[in-house]
Amino acid sequence: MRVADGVYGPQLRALVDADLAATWVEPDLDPSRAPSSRFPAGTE
Amino acid sequence: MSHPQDLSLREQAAAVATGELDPGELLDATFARIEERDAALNSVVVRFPDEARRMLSEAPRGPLHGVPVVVKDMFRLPWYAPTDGAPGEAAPAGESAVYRRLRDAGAVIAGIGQCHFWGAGSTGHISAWGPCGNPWNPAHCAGGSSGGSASAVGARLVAAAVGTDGGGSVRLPAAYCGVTGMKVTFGAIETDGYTHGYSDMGAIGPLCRDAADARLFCEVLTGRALNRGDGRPLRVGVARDPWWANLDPEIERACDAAIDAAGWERVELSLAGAEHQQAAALVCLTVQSLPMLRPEDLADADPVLRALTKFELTMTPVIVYQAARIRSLLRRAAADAFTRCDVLAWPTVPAPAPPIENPTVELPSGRAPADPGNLRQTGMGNLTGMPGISVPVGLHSSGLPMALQLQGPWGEEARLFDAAEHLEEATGREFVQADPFTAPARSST
Repeated sequence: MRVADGVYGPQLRALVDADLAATWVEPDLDPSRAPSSRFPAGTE
Repeated sequence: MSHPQDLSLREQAAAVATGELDPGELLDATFARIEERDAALNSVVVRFPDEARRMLSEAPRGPLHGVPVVVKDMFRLPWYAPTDGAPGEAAPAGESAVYRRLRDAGAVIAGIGQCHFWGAGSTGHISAWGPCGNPWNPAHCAGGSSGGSASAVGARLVAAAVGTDGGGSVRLPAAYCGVTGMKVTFGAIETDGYTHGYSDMGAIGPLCRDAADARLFCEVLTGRALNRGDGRPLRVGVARDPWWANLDPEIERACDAAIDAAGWERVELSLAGAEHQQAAALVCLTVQSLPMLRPEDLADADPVLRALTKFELTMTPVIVYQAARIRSLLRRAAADAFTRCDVLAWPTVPAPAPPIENPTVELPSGRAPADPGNLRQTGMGNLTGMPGISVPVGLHSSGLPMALQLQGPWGEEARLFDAAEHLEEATGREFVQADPFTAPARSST
């Protein structure tokens, strides 16, 4: 587990700490197609 | 005639259709080739001489009439329960959508391709079936998790194999083994009967020796025509950070040279959220797979996978939501990028296939396990759902293949095949025609 944390831990912690408060989660995410045009360009 | 498995998929199909090649003799020759070459590789871990002959006797005159293929150990077959490369059954025997597509095309399933344990790794060195060797050097990894499918095609045991790709598992072994592998747009190939069909990261895809074969096989698997166009006048998006950073220098040069050889217009760009895409891919894969694990699965798991799973169980709801935000950001960024370019291009893997005994790679940042760097190169395709293809572009000084990955807008598989065919032509088809068992570059160390 320590080895796994050494490999992936720093990036996962950076993801937790990232300031993404202004980023919306795509409400109707469907990976079979492009994001809906109703979904704005990633951020508020 | 040379050995029939030295023919391409389309040549085999045409020769059977015209009567030039007897499909029974083709099947016998295929099993003989597997017997001859696979002892050192362990790519086709279950063989179906009886079921294949029964399929052949009932095969319709479809586009792959009488042509033997291999499928990864993740699909239900009427006579076979897939294992995901772990002990025991991952799903009961039955009909998968892939089986029905192959059967209706007249193809013959010759066997099962080795799979990394649970499909949870990019090297193929951990599996209940044992490790799978690389056709260019059996002491090196074939890749994963569709390593058996890639190795079998690379070794010319069959001309086509089916793989699956939840985090790069078609494209990565294709790159390691010097074959062409396509991850289709999410959902473009039906996932019914695919053991990871619960995931919205996973897609199915063809592995073949070149793009024209992969196009034909993809048409069979998707059930739709992927008409040939012109792959020359393309704008290629090059996003340096992070996908062109921390690479083996020979791979970086080979991929750069391939783009130059193709004569494509380069568009330098950056994608918002890219710095977190590797972590987001790991989180999304984990969140979707952990609930599927039964307690007994963990108890029986390989120690490495068990340790990784315990680590993954420490993930918090906060990181899951952060990953969802990054996924959304990346999808929007990719859609925006495709208004400026036709395809995105970066190396499929950062370094050539590592040794089975020590699956680490040498990068400018130092020696590291192969998995994280591989996921960095391919996770974007799974997060966004867009299609991607890995195309051989050279041989490393170690004697192992190198590959360029091209990704396109959702539903544009045909564009990627066009681009890959043009790239092959621009590089003289040298790297898709090489037979590792006869090529002078093959290493034995």
